[in-house]
Amino acid sequence: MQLLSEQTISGSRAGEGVPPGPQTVGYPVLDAMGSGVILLDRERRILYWNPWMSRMAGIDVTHVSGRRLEQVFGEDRLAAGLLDGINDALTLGVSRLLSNKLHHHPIPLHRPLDAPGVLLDISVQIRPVVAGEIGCVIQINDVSAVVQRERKMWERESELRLRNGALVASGQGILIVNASAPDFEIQYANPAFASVTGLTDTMIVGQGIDALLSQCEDGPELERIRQALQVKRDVACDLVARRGGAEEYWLELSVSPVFDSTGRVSHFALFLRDVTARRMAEGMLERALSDVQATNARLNREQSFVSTVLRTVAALVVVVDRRMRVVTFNRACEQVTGYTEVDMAGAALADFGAGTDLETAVHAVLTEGSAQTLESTLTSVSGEQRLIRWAMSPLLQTGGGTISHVVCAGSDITERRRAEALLRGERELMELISRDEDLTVVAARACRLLDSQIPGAKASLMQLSEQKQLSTVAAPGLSPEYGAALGAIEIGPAIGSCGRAAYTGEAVVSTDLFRDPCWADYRSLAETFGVRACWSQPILASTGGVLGTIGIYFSTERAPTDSELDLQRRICDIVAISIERRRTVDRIRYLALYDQLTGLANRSLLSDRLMTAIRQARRSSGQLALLFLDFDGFKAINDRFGHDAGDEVLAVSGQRLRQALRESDTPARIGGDEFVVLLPDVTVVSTAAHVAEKLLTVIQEPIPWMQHFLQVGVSIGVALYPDHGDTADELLSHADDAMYAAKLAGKGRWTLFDPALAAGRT
Amino acid sequence: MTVTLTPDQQDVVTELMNLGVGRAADAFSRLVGDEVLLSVPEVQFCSQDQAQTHLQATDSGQMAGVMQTFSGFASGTAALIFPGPRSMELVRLVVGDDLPAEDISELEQETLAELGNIILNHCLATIGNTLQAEVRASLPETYRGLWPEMFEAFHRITPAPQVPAVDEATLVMLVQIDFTLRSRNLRGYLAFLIDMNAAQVFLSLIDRYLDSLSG
Repeated sequence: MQLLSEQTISGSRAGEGVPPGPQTVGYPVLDAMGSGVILLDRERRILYWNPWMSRMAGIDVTHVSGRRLEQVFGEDRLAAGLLDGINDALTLGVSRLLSNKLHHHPIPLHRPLDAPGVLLDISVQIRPVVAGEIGCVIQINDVSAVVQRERKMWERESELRLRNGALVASGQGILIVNASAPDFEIQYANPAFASVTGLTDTMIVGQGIDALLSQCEDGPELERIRQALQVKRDVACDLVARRGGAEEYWLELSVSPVFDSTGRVSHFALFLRDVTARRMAEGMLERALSDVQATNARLNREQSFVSTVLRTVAALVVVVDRRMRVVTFNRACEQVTGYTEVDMAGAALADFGAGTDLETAVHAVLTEGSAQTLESTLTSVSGEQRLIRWAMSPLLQTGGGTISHVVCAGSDITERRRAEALLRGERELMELISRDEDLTVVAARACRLLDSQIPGAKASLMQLSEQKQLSTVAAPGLSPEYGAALGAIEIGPAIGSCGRAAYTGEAVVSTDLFRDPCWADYRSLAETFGVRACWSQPILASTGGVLGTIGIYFSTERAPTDSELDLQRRICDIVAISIERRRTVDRIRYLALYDQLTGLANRSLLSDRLMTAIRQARRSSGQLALLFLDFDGFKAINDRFGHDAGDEVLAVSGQRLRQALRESDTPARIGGDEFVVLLPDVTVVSTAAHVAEKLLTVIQEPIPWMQHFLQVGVSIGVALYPDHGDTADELLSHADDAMYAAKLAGKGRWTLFDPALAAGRT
Repeated sequence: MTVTLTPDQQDVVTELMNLGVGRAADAFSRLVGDEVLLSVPEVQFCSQDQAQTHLQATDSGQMAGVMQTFSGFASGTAALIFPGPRSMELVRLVVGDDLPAEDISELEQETLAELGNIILNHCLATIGNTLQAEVRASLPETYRGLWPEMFEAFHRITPAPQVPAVDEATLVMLVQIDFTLRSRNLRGYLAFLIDMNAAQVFLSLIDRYLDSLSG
C-alpha cells in the first residue's frame, strides 16, 4: 500500500531514488532541482531542504534542520492548509495539494533579487513518504511565471472581452468584412446589426457584402461605398435602405479598413446606424429653418417695401420714440426741411424746424394715447416756412399696451392753403369787379393777393393812359412815396421793367435790377426804396392792347417760378377784365348820353343836366339860360352835297360849340340840326346874349368839305330860369318858341323869349 | 461478475460519503471564508459500463475531472467530475474571480485539483477512519474530455491490479454531489473505481464495521 505514493513520486521524479538517511547527508538530485523540496520526519521536523529553498527562504538548510516549519517561518505566516496537509499526509497518508490561487503564499518565500515584500507565487504538494526517517515530502513549485502569464492573459482577455462586449452591446450595427474575398465576405455581425438592418447574422454571415448593399437605394452614395471597398479606403455616408425590403429608413454607413500586422488591409469594419429619427429631426429643423428664413426674407421684403414707401411717399413721415427722439425721418421730410435723416436720428422735433405746438401735440399722444391732428408751420433749414398738416398716431409696443412710438404723418398744405387763398382772392377780385368797384380798389386787392401768394413779393399796378403813360394805381406793399416818385412814366423798349412790358406787351423779368441796364435811370430810386428784383407783366385787353402792368418787386435778387409767373399772368387777366369793364361801362354811358356824331350831350343828358341845374338854381336862387339853336340852310346842304356833308357840318359845328363854351356849360344835340346849350349859373341876361352872339359867329364860319366850303347860319332862342319857366320842359319849350321867333324875324339872329308873344300866340 | 451491496452496506457507504463530504465542506468554508454546503443525495454501485452509460445519458459534453489514486481499504481511483463549464464555474466561485476567459487556466486547473483533493481526501479519510483501515492517496491530477476519455484516464492512472481483470472486474461507486456556494448550486459526481478484488476487502470491512455497531 505504501508503494502507491512512492510510485507517484518516483513516476514523476525518475532517478531520484530512495533518499539516503540522515539530514547531514546531501541529496544530490534534490540539490540540483529547480523547485523547492522539503523533507519532514514523522514529527514534522525538517530533515532537509534543498538549496532552492535556502535561496528562496534566505535560510540555509543547516539552520532549519530539526525545526518545524512554523518554527522557521512563524505559524501565522504559513497557510493553515499547509499544516493540515502535512498532518493528513503524516497521519492519514493522503497527499495534499495547495494551489496558488487559493493560498497564494502558503510559505513566505522571496526571490533574492525581487523587491523586499514581494512574495514568491508558489504551489505546494505534500506527499506522504515512508522511507527511513522521512514522513513526507513537500515540493514547492515556483508558479510566478504562470501567475504573471495568466495575469497578462486575463488583462488581454478582459480587454478583449470589453471590446467584444462593446461590439456586441453597441447600439451601432457592426459588420466585419473580409477584405481579401472578392465579394467581401461578411464574417461577423453584432446583434445591433440585426436590429438596424433587419438582417440576422445567420442570414448574412458567409455572404458577400451585397447582402447588405442590395438593401440600399442605388445612387452616388452607394457607389461611393462600393468604390471605397475596392480601393480599400474609408468612407461614410447616409443611405436610404429598406428593412426586410419594405420599411424605408435612413442608414448611416461608415466603412473603416482594418490593417493587419503587415500593414495590409485584411478586413473592413462597417458601422451602421439607423439615423431616420435624426434625419427626420434634421429635416424638421431644416424645414423650420427654411420657414424662419422665408419669414425673415418676407419680413425683409416687407421692411424694404415699407422703407421704400416711406422713402418715396410724398407725405412727411417722422417717427419718434417715447423720449420724443426722432427714429424715422423720411425723404419727404428731408426735402421739405433740408435736413438729412442721418442728422435727425435721435434729434428732437424742434431740431428740424417743427413748431413747439407739434411737440406739445406729440407729447399729448404719448400720454393720452389718442391720435391727433395739427396744422403747424415748419421752418426749413433755409428759413422757408411751410404749413404742414400733421396726423399723429400712437404705435403700441408688440404684445403690450404701452406706447412705444408716435408716428407723425404730415402733408405739406402750404400750396393748398395758398391755392385756397388764391381762389378766395380771385373770387373776391371778381366780386369787386362785378360790383363795379373802382380800379383803385380792385388794383389794391390784386396787389395784396399777389403779396400773400408770393413770399416776399410787393406788387404794384400801373395803368396805361391814352397818352401811353404809365402811372401807379395801387402798390399797397410799397411805400406810397414810391408811386409818387415814379410819377407817370413813358413806355419804351428800355424803360425799367414795366415800361418795357407795357411797350412790348410781354413779361419782363429783372432778377437783379442793379445789373439790368434798363433800370439804370431808376437805380437810385430802387436803392432808396430797397427793391432789387422786379417781374413785370402787361395787363392785356381782350382785343390785344396793353391796359397797364403789374410789377412784383422783391428786396432781394429773385427769379420767378413758372407758377409764380402764371399767377401774375392770371391776376393781370383779372385786372384786365376790371379795366376793360370799366371802359365798356364808360363807353355805354357815353353812348347813352352823348351824340355820336358831334360828341355833344344828347337830349336825355341834357334834360338830366337841365333838371340838375334847375334844382341847383332853385336852391341857390340863381339863374340859368337855355339856348335853342336851329341851323339855317342846313337842308339845302344836305340836299345839294348829301348827308355826309350835312354830318360834317354838324360835327364841326358841335366842335365849335364846345370850344366856344365854358367847361361848365353843356352843349347838346337834340335832333337833326337842333342844338341846345345849357348855361348854368347865369347872373344877368347879357351873359346869355353874349354867348348867343358868339355862337352866331362861330357857326356861320365856312366849313371846308371836299373842294367846297359849306356854310350854314343859325337861329337861336333863349329862355331864362326862373323868368321864363321853372321846369325843364317849360324852359325848353320857351327857348324853342324864342328860336322860332328868331326864324320868323329873319334867321341868323337870337331872340329872348317873350312871354307876351307866347301868350298872344296861344 | 457483479457486486451487489446489501441495503445495510449501501447505507453505511452513503453515510460515510455524507460524513466525508460534510467535513470537506467545513474545510472549504474555512478556505474561502464563506459558507460552502455539500450534500450527497445519491450513492450508486454499478459496473463501469453501467456508470458510463448512465453518466453519458446525463451529460454528454466535455467533462473536467480531478483524479487521485488511492489504496488502503481498497485500491482504485477516485474522481470528482463536473461538466466542463461547471468545473470552471466552481473554481471561480471559490476563488472569487470573475475573469472573462473562456477556458480554464493552468492555475485554475490547479485550484480545481486542490478542491477535488480536499473532497476526495476527506471522503477517503472518513472511510479509512471509520472502517479502521489504512488509506493512502496520491496527489490529484486533472483531466478533460468526453466521458469515454475520462474513463480511459481512469484506467490509465489506476494502479495495475495484481490479477489482471476484465472490465467487469471493476466496481464503480458513483456519488452524486451537490454544491451550494455563494448562493449558487452546482452538481458534480464523485466516482470511485475500485478493483473487484479490493472491493471484496472493502465490503468485508463494511460488514465488520456493521458488526462492530451491532456488537
